[in-house]
Amino acid sequence: MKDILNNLAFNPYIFSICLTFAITRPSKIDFLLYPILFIPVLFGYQYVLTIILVVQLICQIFSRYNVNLLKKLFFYYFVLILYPILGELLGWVIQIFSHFVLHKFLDYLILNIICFIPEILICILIYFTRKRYSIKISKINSDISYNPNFLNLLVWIIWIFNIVTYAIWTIIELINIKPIVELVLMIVVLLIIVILLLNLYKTIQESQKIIKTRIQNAEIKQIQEYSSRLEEANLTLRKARHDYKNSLLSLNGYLSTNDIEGAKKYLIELVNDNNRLQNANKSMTLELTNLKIKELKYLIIDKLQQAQDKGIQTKVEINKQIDAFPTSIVNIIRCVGIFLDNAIEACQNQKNAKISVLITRYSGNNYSLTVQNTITHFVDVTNSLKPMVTSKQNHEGLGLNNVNEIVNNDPYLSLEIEQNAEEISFELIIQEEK
Amino acid sequence: MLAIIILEDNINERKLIQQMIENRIQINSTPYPYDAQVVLSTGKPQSVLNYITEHKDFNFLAFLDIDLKTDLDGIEVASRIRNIGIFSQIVFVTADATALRLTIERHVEPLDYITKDATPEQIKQKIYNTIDTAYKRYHISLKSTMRTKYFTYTKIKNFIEKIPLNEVFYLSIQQKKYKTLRVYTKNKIFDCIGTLKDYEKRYSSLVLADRQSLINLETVQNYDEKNGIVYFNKTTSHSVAVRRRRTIMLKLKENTHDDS
Repeated sequence: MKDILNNLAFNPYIFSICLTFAITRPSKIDFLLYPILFIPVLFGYQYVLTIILVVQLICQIFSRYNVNLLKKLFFYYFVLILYPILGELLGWVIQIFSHFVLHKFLDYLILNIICFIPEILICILIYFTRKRYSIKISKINSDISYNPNFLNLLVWIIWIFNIVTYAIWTIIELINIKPIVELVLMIVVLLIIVILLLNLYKTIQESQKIIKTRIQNAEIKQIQEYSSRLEEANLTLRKARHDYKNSLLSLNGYLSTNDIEGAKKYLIELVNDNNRLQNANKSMTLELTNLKIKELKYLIIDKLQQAQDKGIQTKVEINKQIDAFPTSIVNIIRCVGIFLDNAIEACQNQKNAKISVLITRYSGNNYSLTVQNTITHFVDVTNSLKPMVTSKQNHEGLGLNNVNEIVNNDPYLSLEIEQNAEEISFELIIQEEK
Repeated sequence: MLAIIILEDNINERKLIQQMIENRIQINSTPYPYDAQVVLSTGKPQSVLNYITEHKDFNFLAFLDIDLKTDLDGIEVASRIRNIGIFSQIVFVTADATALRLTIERHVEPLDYITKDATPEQIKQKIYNTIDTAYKRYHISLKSTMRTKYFTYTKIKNFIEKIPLNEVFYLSIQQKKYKTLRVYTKNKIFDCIGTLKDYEKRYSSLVLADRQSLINLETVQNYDEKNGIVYFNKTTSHSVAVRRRRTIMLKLKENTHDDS
């Protein structure tokens, strides 16, 4: 019995599992998954090395940038790299301590059992520090979730590091090295890990900052556009006042010549013209009251006003109040901007052109966002989605290809393009992961 | 049997509509009563959904009130009913005919609208007419032996949608997403949930052209075996992996034999 316990590294195994649960927020499956994944730890470093190779291979083939899987993988590797160093260092410390106090070295089994005490303390410590910094961590977490590419990169980095360190452990185990060399190697690896982690943390924060500034820049640009729109509106108002004065003067002209019929006709014309202008503006803001996302609202108002100025009819329909979408608003804004630009461009030279924006909210946090516009000729959508094909004639190519890229990289978005003889519609579907 | 559902939150109006419908089923322009029945008359959208999920093989005619106050509104219920059975029709009962008209047209394609602000006599006439047309269409769809095959898919979670299979060109996987396919059809391109394997099993005319896509043999117009390109129409084509060129040729030949 003692032999088995001596041979099996039961202490590192239990320690690694405890460490995982201290770091991650385990779900039900994790309680089963991690103990199975850590089984090779019981048998030695070379087995862990093989399982890392196999796991990485399988996950990279089947993961397809699944965020949850990548996260689990990251924590798995992270613990694999952390536990031997912490465990071995603790062993060293206790061994030295006993040498000075008891004047003898402890045997392997007792050492393993004694090590549990500081190890469990470490786990508890990590658990509570994690709780304290949970806000920061969850922020990073949500940022990374939008960017599976970056997460994948992190996994690869930590995987390579694992491979290197485990290769070193295996070599150490196979050939006999002086204990002092082993100790130095341990400390070097620990230092490298700390530096690596600090740098990784910095890069993540850096990238967060970059994203933030990018969003801010986009917002500022939108606000600027919006304010310039307001100015324009102000100008038109002033113009209108001027026009009023002129029209009153000309009305006065009719009346001073006693041309009552002419005056009547002119008056009707005036009233109709005004009604048309006012209705257009009023209806749009009314239609958009259900949309509470400012950025998107401004964008739609801005683009549709451009369209109205060009004599295109517009219509907006939103079935329920919408406060937020489950994914990054930047991606949605970019897509909708491209859709609306395309629609305006396509409608420019048409008679009776019409653009409609339909936003539908379904139960369960699912949304559909559609931009429809009238067309005069068939649009070859299949080819304009492909990144390589962009002929000069087909100006829409570039925009749509960007949309395609955005949709393909965002797990929350999907696309539908439909057309018939009169109309083409672009629908963006926003839903939480399937 | 044509199963009729009424969803209307006002009890009095609901009873009135039901009365009119039942009258028309009994007394109509044909000598016999219609083979139709009001199977459910309720004010709760959820109970409609429960009913239709329990009776998936029914053909429904649903009179729905667009009530926007509840979490599940008429539009959502409608778009779910629409895709159940081969023939299911929706009639919207609404106070304002212009409200969300385009959204409804796009997601539901209803048979008709009944506006509540009309006179009772007009409403009655309208309900009679819609039942007549719906029943006629239902009858025709039953008679026709050439039932069109449908390609069913899920675009939004919990929603089943369908299009005729003879409009589907090809399906390919989305590289960076888990279990997501992009489907290319005659007038539509869309993303749906699923794997190539599922669809290959479900539809015999869909075959693998390479590891990433399924092509629909029914819609292949031309096949260039030498270069491995299938053509669906003037602008749409798809390449075929070298290993599969021969099998696709054979399968296409088989298909044309079946047709003749």
